[in-house]
Parts: sequence; C-alpha cells; structure tokens
Amino acid sequence: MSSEAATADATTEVPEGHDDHGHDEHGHNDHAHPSYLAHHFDTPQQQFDAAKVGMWAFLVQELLFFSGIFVAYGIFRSWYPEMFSAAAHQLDRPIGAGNTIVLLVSSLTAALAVREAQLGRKAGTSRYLLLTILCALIFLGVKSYEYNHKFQAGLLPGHFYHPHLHHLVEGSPALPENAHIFYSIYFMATGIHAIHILVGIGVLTWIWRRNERGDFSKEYYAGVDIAALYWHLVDLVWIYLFPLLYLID
Amino acid sequence: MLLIVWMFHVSYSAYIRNAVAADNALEIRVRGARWNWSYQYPDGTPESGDALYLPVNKPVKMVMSSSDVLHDYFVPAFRLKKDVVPGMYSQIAFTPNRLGEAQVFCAEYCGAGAGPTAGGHFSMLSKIKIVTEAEYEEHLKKIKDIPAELKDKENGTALWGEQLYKGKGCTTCHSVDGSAATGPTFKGVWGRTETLTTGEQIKVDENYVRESILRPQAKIVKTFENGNMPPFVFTEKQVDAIIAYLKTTK
Amino acid sequence: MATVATPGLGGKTEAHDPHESYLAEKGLKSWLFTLDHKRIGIMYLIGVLAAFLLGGILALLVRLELFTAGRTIMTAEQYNKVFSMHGIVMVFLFIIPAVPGALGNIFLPIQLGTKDVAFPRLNLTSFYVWVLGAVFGLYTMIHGGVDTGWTFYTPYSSKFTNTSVIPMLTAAFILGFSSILTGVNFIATVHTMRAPGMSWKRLPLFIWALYATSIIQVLATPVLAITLFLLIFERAFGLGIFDPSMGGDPVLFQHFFWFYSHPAVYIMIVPGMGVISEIICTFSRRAPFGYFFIAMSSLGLALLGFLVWGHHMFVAGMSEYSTMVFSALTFLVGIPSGVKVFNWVTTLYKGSISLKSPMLYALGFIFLFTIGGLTGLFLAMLAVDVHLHDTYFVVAHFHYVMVGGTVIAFVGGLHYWWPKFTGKMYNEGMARAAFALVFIGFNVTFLSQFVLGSRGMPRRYYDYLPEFQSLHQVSTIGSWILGLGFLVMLVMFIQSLQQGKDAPRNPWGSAALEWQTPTPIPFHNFVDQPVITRGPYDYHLATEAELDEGYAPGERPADADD
Repeated sequence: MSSEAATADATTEVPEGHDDHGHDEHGHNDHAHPSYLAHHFDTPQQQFDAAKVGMWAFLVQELLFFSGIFVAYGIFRSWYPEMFSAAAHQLDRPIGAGNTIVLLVSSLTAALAVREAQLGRKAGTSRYLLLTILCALIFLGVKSYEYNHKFQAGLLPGHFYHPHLHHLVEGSPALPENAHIFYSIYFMATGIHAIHILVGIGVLTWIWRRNERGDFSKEYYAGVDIAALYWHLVDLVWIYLFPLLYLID
Repeated sequence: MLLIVWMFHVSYSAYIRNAVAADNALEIRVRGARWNWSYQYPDGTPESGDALYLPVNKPVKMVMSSSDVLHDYFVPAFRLKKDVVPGMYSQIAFTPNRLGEAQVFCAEYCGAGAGPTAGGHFSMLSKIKIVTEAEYEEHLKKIKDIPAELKDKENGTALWGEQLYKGKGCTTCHSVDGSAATGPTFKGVWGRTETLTTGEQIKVDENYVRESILRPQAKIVKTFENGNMPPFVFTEKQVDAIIAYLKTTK
Repeated sequence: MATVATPGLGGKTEAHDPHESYLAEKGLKSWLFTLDHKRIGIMYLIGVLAAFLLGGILALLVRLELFTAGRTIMTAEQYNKVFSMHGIVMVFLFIIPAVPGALGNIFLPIQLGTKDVAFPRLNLTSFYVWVLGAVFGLYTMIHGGVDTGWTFYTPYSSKFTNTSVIPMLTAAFILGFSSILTGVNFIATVHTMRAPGMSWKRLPLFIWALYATSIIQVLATPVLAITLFLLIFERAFGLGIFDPSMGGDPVLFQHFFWFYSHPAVYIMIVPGMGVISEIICTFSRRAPFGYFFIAMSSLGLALLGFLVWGHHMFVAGMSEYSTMVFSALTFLVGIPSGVKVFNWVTTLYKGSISLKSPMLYALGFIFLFTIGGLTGLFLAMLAVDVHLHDTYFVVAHFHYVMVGGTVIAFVGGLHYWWPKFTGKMYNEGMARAAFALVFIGFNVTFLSQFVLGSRGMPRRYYDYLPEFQSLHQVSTIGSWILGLGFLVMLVMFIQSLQQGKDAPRNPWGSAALEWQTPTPIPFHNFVDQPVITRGPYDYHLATEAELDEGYAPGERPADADD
C-alpha cells in the first residue's frame, strides 16, 4: 500500500512498455495470458465463471419476460375457460406436437455440440451446431405454415379477428364472440417466441462461424456453452407454451 | 412494530366501513365521461353534472361506471375516493351527517380536449349538496320538469334546452359559435346535411338528435371518429327541450 | 485494503504504463469506442445530466404554469404533455440509470479491486442502447410528445389519446433493456471479479446496494418490457387485452405496470442509499454501525419491493382482501428503511464528523428521506390513502423520496467522488452555497405540496380552485430557488474542470479502496493488483499512509478543516 501512496503522483518513474497506448481490451503483448483471455480477467476460470453467471442472470430475465404473457394467459383463461377451450380446438395439435419434437431434438443437438466442444472436436461441434440451426429453421417453417392457416381462417388478434366458418376445423365447438383474446395471446406468445428463435439462429450461426475460424478449444468453449444455454431456454418456453395453447380442453 | 400494527388496524377498519353499504342505502348511479360527471337518482331521474342533491343522515351507496377512460370520484370533504373504471362497477358508501356543500374532483388523469375553451381532467368537477329530506324530495320533483321560471315563457322549452346544454357538459365538445372542437358545432345544425363515417348522408332532424344523445356511437359524422361521445341519460322532456334549443342555434 | 502491494499475478508486464491516467488518451474516437468502464461511466454521466437538465426545465415549466389558476403560459393540452414528458424523462432517462450507470460504472470495479466489469463490450452496448432509447424519446418530444403521464394507463393510452404513444413506449422498452444489461453485468462482476481477499463481508456498502439494485433490474424490468410490448400491440393492432369493450381489463395493465414500477422505485433509491453509506462512513471516520444490517436491508428492500405493487391501486377497484394484504406488506417496507436510517444516525454518533459538502448532502438525505419515508407510512394506511391518493400529497411524497433521496444522494456522490475521477478539486464555498439553495428550495417547493394534497388538491390538474392559489405560488417560487441551486452547482463543476486545483490521492482521508489508488485513476484502476486484507471501513486497521490525504507539502488548502 505504502508503495502506492508513494507513487501516487510520481511522474518520474520510468514506465516499461510505453510503446502501446492501445486501449483495446486484449492485452496482445501479454505472454502470460492465453489469447482468448480478455485483459481484465486473471484466469480463464474466472472468465468462464463470469460468462456463466452473466448468462444465467440473463436467462432469469428472459423467464420473467415470458412470465408476463403466462400471467395474462392465466388470468384470461380463468375468466373465460370455455372460450379458451373452444378457441384452442382450432389449433393443429399434430403439427404442434411435431414442432415440439423438432425443438426437443434441437436441444439435444445443442447439448451434443457443447459436448464435442468440450472434447475439442471442432468438426463435430460444427456439425451439431448446423443440425441445431436446421431444426430451428424447420420449426419456423412449420410455424409460418400454421400462421398462414390462421390468417386464412381469420383467427387473428383483437380487431382483426373475423373467423371464416368454412376454414375452421370441422366438428369443433362454436367460437364465442370474445375468442379474439385467445388469439391475441396466442400470437403474442408464439410471436415473441419466434423472435427468440430468430435471435437464436443468429447466435448459433455466429458461434458456428467462430468455431470454423478455430476460436474454440478444449480449454475455451464458453461461447458454445452459452449459446446452448440460451437455446435450451427457448426450447423450455415452448415446452410450456405447447400444452397451454394446444392441449387444453 | 406495535405502532405499525395499530396503524394498520385502525386504517383498515375505517377503510372497510366505506366499502360496505347499509341495506337501506339510497343507491345513486354515477357515470364518469370525459370530462363531466352525471348522476341518476334511485327512481331513474337523471341529474345534471353540476351538483348532486342528497338528504342528510341517510346512508348512500354510489354505483359508479365510466363510459370511456379511467376516472376517479374524489370527495375531499368526505375523505372518499374511488376509481371509476370502464367495464366494471365500483362502489362507495357513506352517510352525510351535516348540511352543506362538498366539492367533487376527478382524481384519475383523463386527458384534455383541444382548444382554449375545451375541458379536461382539471375541469371534471362537481358538487354534492347535502339538504334536508324535504328539500331533497322537492328537488327531485323539480328536475323532472321544466324549471318554474321558464314554464310560462313563450320559448321556455328552448331556454330549458339551453340550460341543459350548458349544465350537462355539452359545451366541452360542441360550440354554438361555429368554432372547431371535439364534436360538430351546433351552429346551424338543424336541418344540416351531414356525411357519416359510412359515407351515408343524413339530415339532422328530431330522430337523429335523439339517437345521437342516447346512442352517440350509432351514426358518427365524418372527421369526428375520435370524439368518443358517451351516452347521456335524459328524460323524454329533456330531449324535447334540447331539440327545441337546437332549432334556435342558427 | 491493499496493505500489501503484491506484484500483479504472475508478474506480467502490462501493455502500457500502469500509472497512466485513463483520461490520458485524447480524441472523440477513443471515447466513443472505449471499453473502459470509467469512460463509459463518464459518458453515462454526461447523458444523465443532460436528461436531468431537460427534465428540470420541463419541471420548471410545469410549476410556472401553475403559478396562477387558469392559463399562465400554456394550454391544457400542452400542460399535459409537459408534465408527462417531465415524468418520463426523469424516471426512464435520468433517475434509473443515474447512480448505477454513472457512479456505479466508474466505481464498482475499483471498489472491488478489479480492472473492469465482467463484460466491457456489453457495458458499452448498454450505454448505446440507452442512447438509442434517448433518441426515440427525443424524437417523440419533437413529434409532439405524449400526454398519458409516465404511467401510460389504459385505456387512455391505448385508445383515446392521439399523441405519439408508440414511439415513446418503444423508447421506454429500449431503455429497459439498457437497464437489464447493466444489471446482468454488475451481478456477474460482483460474483466473479472480486480482488483476492475481497470477501462478501468486506464488500463496500455501495456494492451491496448496487448488487441489490441489479437483482431488481434483472427480475422486474423484463415484466415492464412485456407490458409495454403488449401495450404497443394493443394500441397498434387493437389486441383487446386491456380494453374493457373487447373483454379485456384495464386494471390488469395497472397490475403489470406496478409489478415493475414499484420495484423500480427501489432501483432508483437503493443505489442512493449505498452512496450515503459510503459518505457517512468516510466523513465520520468510522466503520458503519451494523454493517451487516445495512447490507441486508438493501436486499430486504429489493425483496419487499416485489410484494407491494398493489398499494398504487388501493382505490382502483381491487378486492378488499387484496388491499388489506398489500397495506400490511407495505408497512413492512418501513422496517428495512428504518433500519438504514437508524444505523446511519448511530454511525454519526461519536464519529469524528467533518462537514464537507458531500457530508452536507448525506445529512440532507437522511433528513429528507425520513420525511419521505414517514409520509409513506401515512399512504400505506388504507383509510388515509383513500383521501390522499392521487393528490399533491403523493406528488410531494415521491419527490421527497426521489429528489430528496436519490437526486441528493447522486449529487452527494458526485461531490464525493468528483476529485477521484476528474482529478480536480472544486470550490467548497460554492458547493455549500449550492447545497443551501437546493435544500431550501426543495423544501419550499414540496412541503407546500403536502399541505395542498391534504386539503384535497388532485394531481395532474392544469387549473385549480382559487383557495389553492397561494400554496401553489409558494411551491413555484421554491422551484426557482431549487433551479438556481442546481445552476450554481453546474457553474461550480464547470469551473472545477477548467481551473480547479489538481486533486490529491485521498482528499477526504478515507480508508476505502478507491481512495488508495492514484488520482487520476490509472487505466487499469490500480498500479498493482490489490490484495484486500481488511474491510473498507476498518479505520482502526488502516495505516497512516493510507489515510493520508496525499497532498504535496504546502499544497494543503487552508479551509480543509472546518
């Protein structure tokens, strides 16, 4: 301490390595640091822990973000149970179930990608990342098919709700007048979820590119790990959305 | 800590007294609409927004609703306040025990109209007049009919209509000098041909005026889509008086 | 703390001079693309001060309009926009990011003894997200503003007003994300970046406060985000969720909104309390009385903050049972707040107090916050709240907590840490004059509003009954004194930057870690990696050299001791 106090205003001290004023975050001249370790961390372990804690905090906020929709769902369902059940009949269960399986598979491939990264197998990581992205695209494709059907049938949120009877599922219970609320919630929930899928595709593609570039190794695979965590959350949200929207009766 | 428990108890008991009405309470309907209050006595008689008359020492229950946005019925002298929410009824209960007058405010922000003379949240005021039982009965009888001083005049009905126009808050949105406001001006309104939002043309006559007062959203004049006029409660005679008045605003 | 100056881990050589000030590099680009937490903090500081200036001018306009009944300078429509914009700018642009974004960013890593926050890029991102939100907000203002109040109550905001609500909601939505990202960053930093020896029990109280705040930011802000998102769609596409005529419920919006916005009150006040704890310890030269209780009461407030949103809606038509529960829970908030005030006052007792300007602000805070807190208890009483709800009493109450609390704490923290992060001293006489003006002006402005409110003057009124006029005029005159005080302060700080004396290492003789590093702060915060051997307030363990103010011989200002 006393040395700090003594040098507090010392301007005469001869500085070492005065050649680089670079304020970039990586201390490139620093031989003690591995190249992936940002300058402000002391050890790779610390960097990895920080990334994990940060990601978990972020996931918590994601959950709370979705919780708003779930609360709205709960309240309106308790007010209008018959309407919810009738409106849910118009959703296509087999397609929804198929999509759920696609997402579950994608979660598996994401987890396998992490596993491959931990073992330092670059090719395997890339393969599983691409498979995950493929599953995400399939999910979105199926979702847009479903949306398209809802648009044709006029099962839309709020003011846009104007059901065309000939497009509805045969033998389904009649739709009450306020069914638009169900579709408001349906479109908000699945829409926000789809945005998260889009973001996930972006993140996974970026991680895939970094992996191809050789950024990751047995020692440093935090990027893959964190992208997979995010992907599991997106998956988890859908696992709740699917029964709540499709399977109620 | 004990202090807190005591404070909680005292205040909660007082709060509950205002939430639960006596069985024989006088039930008054209160309706909030931007930017005036209107009342209806238990027998269905409408009261203008300026003042509500209540008999002293009689329990009162107010059932309140809003026809547009959130409002809040606030009577500082009674230490009473309750939000008036569209789509539901809220209640307050009290027993006035002293003769006199109490100021009423709107305490939930509800916007303002365009233009210097337009009203707003700040002008959504009213009064409660606490009178004796006899005065209350007499007042009820009086408002059902044309005011005595106008009864014998030649154009008494139209004058009554003018009083209603001023007293019911119509001035907030409808001018009589042709100036623009939230709703169509009443200058030269009688017999005018208006274009509706549907594109249909309509001539302003007795039926259109009557419908526009009681069911304002049925036929809206083009360019006034955002006016959102609330339905008003009038007796048949009062509607007649308004019609008579509109015939004079040339 | 860094009693042993160990060489950095592994004795590594740094890329640049370890003594070089973080302010050394010049050029706009070196600021705009910096990843250094101190520079980001300073950019936040400039941003929030600009927002404060804007919000302050709007506040003065509101008060000026209310100087006379009826029209004074603007129409009712303009008035509604001005008070709405005042609220929105002050809440979302200024008071939420003020302490964490500016002071927290600069001092959180230094107090932890580390080089930077855990995610410097994310830190810069959250600043630019804030800027983006501010740009949306300004766009809305130029585009005519909004007149919904900062609460955006439905159905007025969704169906009735014809002002630019959607861009403003987008702005608030974006600003929410900035706040969440800062929270995530701080949580990760506190968990993983503490210097060797910096145990949880040695964390400075400011860090505890920021940590509690970050938890609220991460847990509450997303709920606001989804609420605003729903409201945007409600207004744009008529979802019907909040619209009674379509089977929706306008009160649901209030529940959603206050589920965020009540915790948000603690996002605003808790960091301020952290600042006050630091100032009081430094200027009493004492360890805080009940360190553990102060730290835990921050977390307690964070937790209770989530349980009391309903007290904003006592008269909104909730069931009598829910109001009862919310009232009881609200009383509980008084306990951690009371614990804090009690501990601060006890810390002062038998301390060796020096009344420098930061300490004046800290004492002012205790006084004003106590009034704000006690009036909060009145409002927690159901029957009393029924009368006072949505009147000027509430306006005065939350200004006492937000301005008398947070703003005073923020300004006090600015005075306290100013020499450290700018490297310049300021004129103490002017600082005290500014404090006097602010303190007097504030009380004149808002004490009169307590009286107005208890007499039944409702809030957000453009016009008022004649009997309220004199008190309104007193309040307006108070707002001018308050504005003058802030003006003097602004001049003082600008003067300090231009011609202030160079600040010594430790002008207040504090034992806390951030005062042990050279002034101005080196780029990596410390010359060597500090190793923590004692708590930040252990004056009995601190060495002479640590507490030494670090003036060069003969430079010590004459008025230093008074």
